[in-house]
Amino acid sequence: MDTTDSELVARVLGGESERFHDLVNRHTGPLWSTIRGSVSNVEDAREILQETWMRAFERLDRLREPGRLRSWLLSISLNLVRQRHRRRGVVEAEPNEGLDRFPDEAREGAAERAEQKDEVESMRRRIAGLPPRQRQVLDLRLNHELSHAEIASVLGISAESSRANYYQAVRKLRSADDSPTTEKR
Amino acid sequence: MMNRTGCERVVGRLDRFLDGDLTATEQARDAGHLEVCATCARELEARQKELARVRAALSGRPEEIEIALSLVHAALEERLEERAVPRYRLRIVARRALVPLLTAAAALLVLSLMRWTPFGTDITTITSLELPSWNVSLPTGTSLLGELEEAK
Ligand SMILES: [Zn+2]
Repeated sequence: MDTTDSELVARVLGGESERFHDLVNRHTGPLWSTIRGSVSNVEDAREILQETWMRAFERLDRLREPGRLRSWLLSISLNLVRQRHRRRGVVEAEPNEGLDRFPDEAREGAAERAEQKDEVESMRRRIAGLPPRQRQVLDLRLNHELSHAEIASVLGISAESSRANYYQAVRKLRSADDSPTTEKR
Repeated sequence: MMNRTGCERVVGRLDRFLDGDLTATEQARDAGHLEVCATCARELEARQKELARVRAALSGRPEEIEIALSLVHAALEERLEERAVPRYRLRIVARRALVPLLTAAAALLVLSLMRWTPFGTDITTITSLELPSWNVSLPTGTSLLGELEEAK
Protein backbone atom coordinates (compact mmCIF):
# COMPACT_ATOMS: atom_id res chain seq x y z
CA MET A 1 0.00 0.00 0.00
CA ASP A 2 1.67 3.18 -1.14
CA THR A 3 0.04 5.82 1.02
CA THR A 4 -0.84 4.98 4.58
CA ASP A 5 -4.07 5.96 6.25
CA SER A 6 -2.16 8.28 8.51
CA GLU A 7 -0.66 10.10 5.56
CA LEU A 8 -4.00 10.45 3.87
CA VAL A 9 -5.64 11.69 7.04
CA ALA A 10 -2.88 14.24 7.49
CA ARG A 11 -3.34 15.48 3.95
CA VAL A 12 -7.08 15.82 4.36
CA LEU A 13 -6.62 17.74 7.57
CA GLY A 14 -3.95 19.82 5.90
CA GLY A 15 -6.50 21.12 3.46
CA GLU A 16 -6.59 18.52 0.70
CA SER A 17 -10.14 17.57 1.51
CA GLU A 18 -10.64 15.76 -1.78
CA ARG A 19 -8.21 13.11 -0.59
CA PHE A 20 -11.02 11.93 1.64
CA HIS A 21 -12.41 10.19 -1.44
CA ASP A 22 -9.34 7.94 -1.33
CA LEU A 23 -10.11 6.92 2.20
CA VAL A 24 -13.66 6.15 1.16
CA ASN A 25 -12.44 3.98 -1.69
CA ARG A 26 -10.05 2.19 0.53
CA HIS A 27 -12.35 1.29 3.39
CA THR A 28 -15.88 1.10 2.11
CA GLY A 29 -15.76 -2.57 1.06
CA PRO A 30 -15.24 -4.13 4.48
CA LEU A 31 -17.38 -1.50 6.16
CA TRP A 32 -20.21 -2.18 3.82
CA SER A 33 -20.31 -5.89 4.46
CA THR A 34 -20.23 -5.37 8.19
CA ILE A 35 -23.07 -2.86 8.11
CA ARG A 36 -24.99 -4.88 5.58
CA GLY A 37 -24.68 -7.87 7.86
CA SER A 38 -26.11 -5.98 10.81
CA VAL A 39 -29.27 -4.47 9.44
CA SER A 40 -32.07 -6.11 7.63
CA ASN A 41 -32.46 -3.93 4.61
CA VAL A 42 -30.22 -2.46 2.00
CA GLU A 43 -31.60 1.05 2.35
CA ASP A 44 -30.76 1.16 6.04
CA ALA A 45 -27.31 -0.15 5.32
CA ARG A 46 -26.72 2.54 2.72
CA GLU A 47 -27.85 5.26 5.06
CA ILE A 48 -25.65 4.03 7.83
CA LEU A 49 -22.67 3.76 5.55
CA GLN A 50 -23.17 7.31 4.33
CA GLU A 51 -23.69 8.63 7.79
CA THR A 52 -20.55 6.86 8.94
CA TRP A 53 -18.46 8.57 6.32
CA MET A 54 -20.03 11.96 6.82
CA ARG A 55 -19.40 11.79 10.54
CA ALA A 56 -15.88 10.64 9.95
CA PHE A 57 -15.38 13.56 7.61
CA GLU A 58 -16.70 16.08 10.08
CA ARG A 59 -14.79 14.66 13.01
CA LEU A 60 -11.57 13.63 11.38
CA ASP A 61 -9.60 16.12 13.43
CA ARG A 62 -10.69 14.33 16.56
CA LEU A 63 -9.16 11.04 15.50
CA ARG A 64 -6.22 10.76 17.83
CA GLU A 65 -4.42 7.88 16.18
CA PRO A 66 -4.88 8.08 12.43
CA GLY A 67 -3.30 4.65 12.12
CA ARG A 68 -6.39 3.26 13.76
CA LEU A 69 -8.75 4.71 11.25
CA ARG A 70 -10.31 1.35 10.46
CA SER A 71 -11.38 0.57 13.97
CA TRP A 72 -12.56 4.13 14.41
CA LEU A 73 -14.78 3.86 11.34
CA LEU A 74 -16.11 0.57 12.58
CA SER A 75 -16.96 2.00 15.94
CA ILE A 76 -18.89 4.79 14.29
CA SER A 77 -20.86 2.37 12.11
CA LEU A 78 -21.56 -0.08 14.87
CA ASN A 79 -22.86 2.76 17.01
CA LEU A 80 -25.14 3.86 14.23
CA VAL A 81 -26.33 0.29 13.81
CA ARG A 82 -27.08 0.09 17.51
CA GLN A 83 -28.96 3.37 17.44
CA ARG A 84 -31.04 2.16 14.58
CA HIS A 85 -31.85 -1.10 16.29
CA ARG A 86 -32.84 0.74 19.41
CA ARG A 87 -35.09 3.02 17.46
CA ARG A 88 -36.71 0.08 15.75
CA GLY A 89 -36.88 -1.91 18.94
CA VAL A 90 -34.65 -4.64 17.59
CA VAL A 91 -32.88 -6.61 20.26
CA GLU A 92 -29.21 -6.16 19.78
CA ALA A 93 -27.31 -9.01 18.20
CA GLU A 94 -30.57 -10.74 17.54
CA PRO A 95 -29.75 -14.27 16.47
CA ASN A 96 -31.65 -14.03 13.23
CA GLU A 97 -30.18 -10.83 12.15
CA GLY A 98 -27.29 -12.47 10.37
CA LEU A 99 -29.54 -14.43 8.12
CA ASP A 100 -30.54 -11.22 6.45
CA ARG A 101 -27.00 -10.46 5.67
CA PHE A 102 -27.06 -12.46 2.53
CA PRO A 103 -30.51 -12.14 1.14
CA ASP A 104 -31.57 -14.24 -1.77
CA GLU A 105 -29.88 -13.27 -4.84
CA ALA A 106 -32.10 -14.91 -7.36
CA ARG A 107 -32.04 -11.80 -9.51
CA GLU A 108 -29.86 -10.75 -12.42
CA GLY A 109 -26.49 -12.24 -12.95
CA ALA A 110 -27.07 -15.18 -10.70
CA ALA A 111 -25.97 -17.59 -13.35
CA GLU A 112 -22.41 -16.57 -13.85
CA ARG A 113 -19.49 -18.23 -12.22
CA ALA A 114 -21.94 -20.57 -10.67
CA GLU A 115 -19.74 -23.04 -8.93
CA GLN A 116 -17.40 -20.57 -7.30
CA LYS A 117 -20.36 -18.52 -6.33
CA ASP A 118 -22.15 -21.50 -4.86
CA GLU A 119 -19.21 -22.15 -2.68
CA VAL A 120 -19.17 -18.60 -1.43
CA GLU A 121 -22.91 -18.65 -0.94
CA SER A 122 -22.84 -21.81 1.06
CA MET A 123 -20.08 -20.37 3.20
CA ARG A 124 -22.20 -17.26 3.70
CA ARG A 125 -25.01 -19.39 4.94
CA ARG A 126 -22.75 -21.20 7.32
CA ILE A 127 -21.38 -17.95 8.66
CA ALA A 128 -24.89 -16.66 9.07
CA GLY A 129 -25.61 -19.64 11.25
CA LEU A 130 -22.88 -18.76 13.76
CA PRO A 131 -23.77 -17.08 17.04
CA PRO A 132 -23.75 -13.29 16.59
CA ARG A 133 -20.68 -12.61 18.67
CA GLN A 134 -18.63 -15.21 16.84
CA ARG A 135 -19.79 -13.86 13.53
CA GLN A 136 -18.89 -10.35 14.52
CA VAL A 137 -15.42 -11.26 15.70
CA LEU A 138 -14.80 -13.36 12.60
CA ASP A 139 -15.79 -10.41 10.45
CA LEU A 140 -13.57 -7.96 12.27
CA ARG A 141 -10.63 -10.32 12.21
CA LEU A 142 -10.77 -11.57 8.64
CA ASN A 143 -12.64 -8.89 6.80
CA HIS A 144 -11.23 -5.85 8.57
CA GLU A 145 -8.01 -7.50 9.65
CA LEU A 146 -8.16 -5.98 13.08
CA SER A 147 -5.98 -7.41 15.81
CA HIS A 148 -7.67 -9.07 18.75
CA ALA A 149 -6.75 -6.05 20.84
CA GLU A 150 -8.48 -3.76 18.37
CA ILE A 151 -11.50 -6.03 18.16
CA ALA A 152 -11.64 -5.99 21.93
CA SER A 153 -11.79 -2.23 22.04
CA VAL A 154 -14.31 -1.93 19.22
CA LEU A 155 -16.68 -4.47 20.75
CA GLY A 156 -16.01 -3.70 24.37
CA ILE A 157 -14.88 -7.23 25.19
CA SER A 158 -11.52 -8.63 26.24
CA ALA A 159 -8.86 -9.67 23.76
CA GLU A 160 -9.08 -13.16 25.20
CA SER A 161 -12.76 -13.29 24.50
CA SER A 162 -12.08 -12.09 20.98
CA ARG A 163 -9.61 -14.93 20.45
CA ALA A 164 -11.93 -17.49 21.94
CA ASN A 165 -14.83 -16.40 19.78
CA TYR A 166 -12.67 -16.35 16.72
CA TYR A 167 -11.28 -19.85 17.17
CA GLN A 168 -14.68 -21.24 17.98
CA ALA A 169 -16.07 -19.72 14.82
CA VAL A 170 -13.26 -21.10 12.70
CA ARG A 171 -13.66 -24.54 14.22
CA LYS A 172 -17.39 -24.54 13.72
CA LEU A 173 -17.12 -23.55 10.11
CA ARG A 174 -14.58 -26.26 9.56
CA SER A 175 -16.62 -29.01 11.11
CA ALA A 176 -19.68 -27.93 9.16
CA ASP A 177 -17.50 -28.07 6.12
CA ASP A 178 -15.85 -31.41 6.76
CA SER A 179 -17.88 -33.77 4.70
CA PRO A 180 -17.97 -32.40 1.17
CA THR A 181 -15.35 -29.70 0.79
CA THR A 182 -12.36 -31.27 2.43
CA GLU A 183 -12.69 -34.31 0.21
CA LYS A 184 -13.00 -32.10 -2.82
CA ARG A 185 -9.51 -30.92 -1.83
CA MET B 1 6.87 -39.56 8.62
CA MET B 2 7.11 -37.41 11.70
CA ASN B 3 6.71 -38.33 15.29
CA ARG B 4 3.10 -38.36 16.38
CA THR B 5 3.50 -35.95 19.27
CA GLY B 6 5.04 -33.34 16.98
CA CYS B 7 2.08 -33.64 14.61
CA GLU B 8 -0.39 -33.49 17.44
CA ARG B 9 1.17 -30.37 18.81
CA VAL B 10 1.29 -28.64 15.43
CA VAL B 11 -2.22 -29.55 14.34
CA GLY B 12 -3.54 -28.78 17.78
CA ARG B 13 -2.50 -25.17 17.52
CA LEU B 14 -2.62 -24.71 13.79
CA ASP B 15 -5.39 -22.12 13.94
CA ARG B 16 -3.32 -20.06 16.30
CA PHE B 17 -0.31 -20.56 14.06
CA LEU B 18 -2.32 -19.19 11.16
CA ASP B 19 -3.56 -16.33 13.23
CA GLY B 20 -0.02 -15.36 14.18
CA ASP B 21 -0.98 -15.92 17.76
CA LEU B 22 1.90 -18.11 18.91
CA THR B 23 5.07 -16.87 20.53
CA ALA B 24 8.00 -16.36 18.17
CA THR B 25 9.62 -19.54 19.45
CA GLU B 26 6.49 -21.64 19.04
CA GLN B 27 5.86 -20.18 15.63
CA ALA B 28 9.38 -20.99 14.48
CA ARG B 29 9.22 -24.47 15.90
CA ASP B 30 5.95 -25.29 14.16
CA ALA B 31 7.11 -23.72 10.94
CA GLY B 32 10.11 -26.03 11.05
CA HIS B 33 7.84 -29.04 11.49
CA LEU B 34 5.53 -27.94 8.69
CA GLU B 35 8.45 -27.72 6.35
CA VAL B 36 9.31 -31.36 6.73
CA CYS B 37 5.97 -33.00 7.51
CA ALA B 38 3.76 -33.49 4.48
CA THR B 39 0.74 -34.54 6.52
CA CYS B 40 0.70 -31.39 8.60
CA ALA B 41 1.56 -29.27 5.59
CA ARG B 42 -1.49 -30.64 3.81
CA GLU B 43 -3.65 -29.77 6.79
CA LEU B 44 -2.18 -26.28 6.81
CA GLU B 45 -2.98 -25.81 3.18
CA ALA B 46 -6.56 -26.99 3.66
CA ARG B 47 -7.08 -24.53 6.48
CA GLN B 48 -5.58 -21.69 4.50
CA LYS B 49 -7.99 -22.41 1.70
CA GLU B 50 -10.82 -22.54 4.15
CA LEU B 51 -9.87 -19.14 5.53
CA ALA B 52 -9.72 -17.74 2.04
CA ARG B 53 -13.27 -18.98 1.47
CA VAL B 54 -14.43 -17.41 4.70
CA ARG B 55 -12.84 -14.13 3.68
CA ALA B 56 -14.53 -14.26 0.31
CA ALA B 57 -17.86 -14.95 1.95
CA LEU B 58 -17.39 -12.13 4.42
CA SER B 59 -16.67 -9.54 1.81
CA GLY B 60 -19.73 -7.86 0.46
CA ARG B 61 -21.26 -8.34 -2.94
CA PRO B 62 -19.37 -6.23 -5.45
CA GLU B 63 -22.56 -4.92 -7.08
CA GLU B 64 -23.82 -3.72 -3.74
CA ILE B 65 -20.55 -2.17 -2.77
CA GLU B 66 -20.37 -0.29 -6.01
CA ILE B 67 -23.75 1.31 -5.47
CA ALA B 68 -23.02 2.12 -1.86
CA LEU B 69 -19.69 3.60 -2.85
CA SER B 70 -21.14 5.88 -5.46
CA LEU B 71 -23.69 7.18 -2.97
CA VAL B 72 -20.98 7.98 -0.48
CA HIS B 73 -18.86 9.74 -3.06
CA ALA B 74 -21.81 11.84 -4.15
CA ALA B 75 -22.67 12.83 -0.59
CA LEU B 76 -19.07 13.67 0.08
CA GLU B 77 -18.83 15.75 -3.04
CA GLU B 78 -21.80 17.75 -1.86
CA ARG B 79 -20.23 18.25 1.53
CA LEU B 80 -16.97 19.34 -0.04
CA GLU B 81 -18.73 21.90 -2.16
CA GLU B 82 -20.47 23.35 0.85
CA ARG B 83 -17.15 23.68 2.52
CA ALA B 84 -15.44 25.18 -0.47
CA VAL B 85 -14.08 28.70 -0.45
CA PRO B 86 -16.94 31.13 0.07
CA ARG B 87 -18.05 33.15 -2.87
CA TYR B 88 -17.88 36.88 -2.69
CA ARG B 89 -20.04 39.66 -3.86
CA LEU B 90 -18.75 43.09 -4.59
CA ARG B 91 -21.10 45.81 -3.60
CA ILE B 92 -20.14 48.53 -5.92
CA VAL B 93 -19.78 51.96 -4.53
CA ALA B 94 -17.99 53.61 -7.37
CA ARG B 95 -17.08 53.05 -10.93
CA ARG B 96 -14.01 53.95 -12.84
CA ALA B 97 -10.89 54.73 -10.97
CA LEU B 98 -11.89 57.47 -8.64
CA VAL B 99 -10.16 58.70 -5.59
CA PRO B 100 -9.24 55.62 -3.57
CA LEU B 101 -11.71 55.37 -0.77
CA LEU B 102 -11.39 55.04 2.92
CA THR B 103 -12.58 51.81 4.45
CA ALA B 104 -10.22 49.02 5.10
CA ALA B 105 -12.91 46.66 4.02
CA ALA B 106 -13.06 48.33 0.68
CA ALA B 107 -11.61 46.25 -2.00
CA LEU B 108 -10.38 47.49 -5.24
CA LEU B 109 -10.79 45.31 -8.19
CA VAL B 110 -8.84 46.37 -11.12
CA LEU B 111 -8.66 44.09 -13.94
CA SER B 112 -7.43 45.03 -17.23
CA LEU B 113 -7.91 43.82 -20.71
CA MET B 114 -10.63 42.03 -22.44
CA ARG B 115 -14.17 42.80 -22.75
CA TRP B 116 -16.54 42.63 -19.88
CA THR B 117 -19.36 40.32 -20.65
CA PRO B 118 -21.37 39.08 -17.68
CA PHE B 119 -24.94 40.30 -17.94
CA GLY B 120 -24.04 41.60 -21.34
CA THR B 121 -24.41 45.05 -19.90
CA ASP B 122 -22.81 48.27 -19.65
CA ILE B 123 -20.70 48.45 -16.58
CA THR B 124 -22.18 51.69 -15.41
CA THR B 125 -25.47 50.07 -14.53
CA ILE B 126 -24.20 47.29 -12.28
CA THR B 127 -24.62 47.75 -8.59
CA SER B 128 -23.59 44.42 -7.36
CA LEU B 129 -21.35 41.85 -8.81
CA GLU B 130 -20.97 38.25 -7.85
CA LEU B 131 -17.45 37.06 -8.24
CA PRO B 132 -17.14 33.55 -9.52
CA SER B 133 -13.42 33.71 -8.95
CA TRP B 134 -10.75 36.24 -8.46
CA ASN B 135 -10.34 36.70 -12.13
CA VAL B 136 -12.85 39.15 -13.40
CA SER B 137 -12.13 41.01 -16.54
CA LEU B 138 -13.15 44.57 -17.07
CA PRO B 139 -12.78 46.74 -20.11
CA THR B 140 -9.44 48.42 -20.35
CA GLY B 141 -9.11 51.46 -18.23
CA THR B 142 -12.09 50.75 -16.01
CA SER B 143 -12.17 49.81 -12.42
CA LEU B 144 -14.76 49.07 -9.81
CA LEU B 145 -14.62 50.12 -6.24
CA GLY B 146 -16.72 48.46 -3.62
CA GLU B 147 -17.02 46.34 -0.57
CA LEU B 148 -16.54 42.63 -0.59
CA GLU B 149 -19.02 40.59 1.26
CA GLU B 150 -19.60 36.86 1.38
CA ALA B 151 -22.26 35.78 -1.01
CA LYS B 152 -24.64 33.31 0.51
ZN1 LIG C 1 3.26 -33.43 11.24
